[in-house]
Amino acid sequence: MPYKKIEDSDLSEVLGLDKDAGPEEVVDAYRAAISAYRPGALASYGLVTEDERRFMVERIEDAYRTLNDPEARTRYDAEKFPNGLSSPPRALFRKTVSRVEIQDADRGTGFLSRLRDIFRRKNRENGGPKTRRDSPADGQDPLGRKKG
Amino acid sequence: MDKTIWAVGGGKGGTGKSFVASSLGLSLAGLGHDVVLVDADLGAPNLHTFLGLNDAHPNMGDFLARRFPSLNDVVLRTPFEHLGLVRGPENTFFSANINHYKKLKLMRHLKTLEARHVVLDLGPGSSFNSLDFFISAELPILVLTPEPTSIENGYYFLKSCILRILKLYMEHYRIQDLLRRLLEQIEKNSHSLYAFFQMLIDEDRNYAHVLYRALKTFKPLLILNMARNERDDLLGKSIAQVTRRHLLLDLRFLGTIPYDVRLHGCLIDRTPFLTAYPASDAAVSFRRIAEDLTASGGLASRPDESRKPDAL
Repeated sequence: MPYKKIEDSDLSEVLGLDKDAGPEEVVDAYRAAISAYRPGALASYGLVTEDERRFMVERIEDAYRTLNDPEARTRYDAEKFPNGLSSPPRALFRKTVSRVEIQDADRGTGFLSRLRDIFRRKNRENGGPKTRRDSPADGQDPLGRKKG
Repeated sequence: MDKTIWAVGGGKGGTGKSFVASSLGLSLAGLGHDVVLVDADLGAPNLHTFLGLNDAHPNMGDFLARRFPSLNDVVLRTPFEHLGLVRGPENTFFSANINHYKKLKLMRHLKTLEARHVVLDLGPGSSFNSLDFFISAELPILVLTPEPTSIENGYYFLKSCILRILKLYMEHYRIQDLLRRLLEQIEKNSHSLYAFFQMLIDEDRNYAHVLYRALKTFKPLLILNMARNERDDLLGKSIAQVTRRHLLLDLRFLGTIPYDVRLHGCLIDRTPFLTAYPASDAAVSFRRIAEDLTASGGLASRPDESRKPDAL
């Protein structure tokens, strides 16, 4: 699956909005977003290059132009999200894992794929080289923090 | 006893970390929580001065030098109800750069302190000692001021935290070979973390998952100190958004602390600002933040708003 760069974010993500955000929220989000990347902006100082800053401004202006125009927004939503604006459901299984794991559970793979991963790890543990630890869940948090 | 460790840090000196730490400690104690403030600025400790305390008392240096077996033995009971203090070492020459084993010992003893909340005041800079206390705290609070120098250093500090976390996990899972490639990537530009994870996804999804999850367990908080106007509130929100977008960290903005010229007078008089001006805007802001972070369910309900590579 391709890695999602900032340039591939959808327009709502560019402004940090929910897909069904109202007109006032669009304006507020635009002001907040553009203030972070305008020339001389403090919020991105020291983190983004000048090229990145200019690119972000273009993306934010483009997102605002579309999302602030009801007709353009309807056309964009229909083209970008032909199946509607609802978010895909989160993984609901693996009750015993932590909140973080549930949130980060891969939406693209199912239970069988997870099982295959486990067996692949088991095989490596049994026969493979021991230079790396194979199971992400085999030890305590290296930072010594509370789990969960 | 269930304990929450707070760490107040940030890359730059002079942003008000000790003021924030002492004020949060006082605010928490004012809400009835048992609190121990720990001056972990081992190179330049002065948290006691913010509290107006300067009487001789065994301190962190005495604990580190094994003159006291437990950190609890050097907790100074302050005149403020529910508030204890571990003073920083007086002999900073020997204590500023404690070794790995002393650091682990200190971390272990922090968890044994007899208090519901332990608030660490960390030193400036990105030394491993400061970073490790910061990233291992349940509530790591980054203190910045609305100035380019502070913000620039804040981002450097967060990048150092990211590198430190990933390095520790790479060592734990014996995948240190990835570290060199991470260092090469992260210096390039702000998108480079994505590039690193993408490379990892292509090579080994399991390790990409492990390292990404490791990063997501680190949820720093942001306080913008010495705020002058409402624009600074927007600035704090923007910094959080930029951090989420470019550094993949779920940075939560707690709010601003308004600049108050009377703080200087309090320092001269060695009187805690919060007790001198309990109705000031700054004092109200600290109380609100303390209430927010101790409210039941307040922390657990933090949404993860940062972006992530699709394949994760």
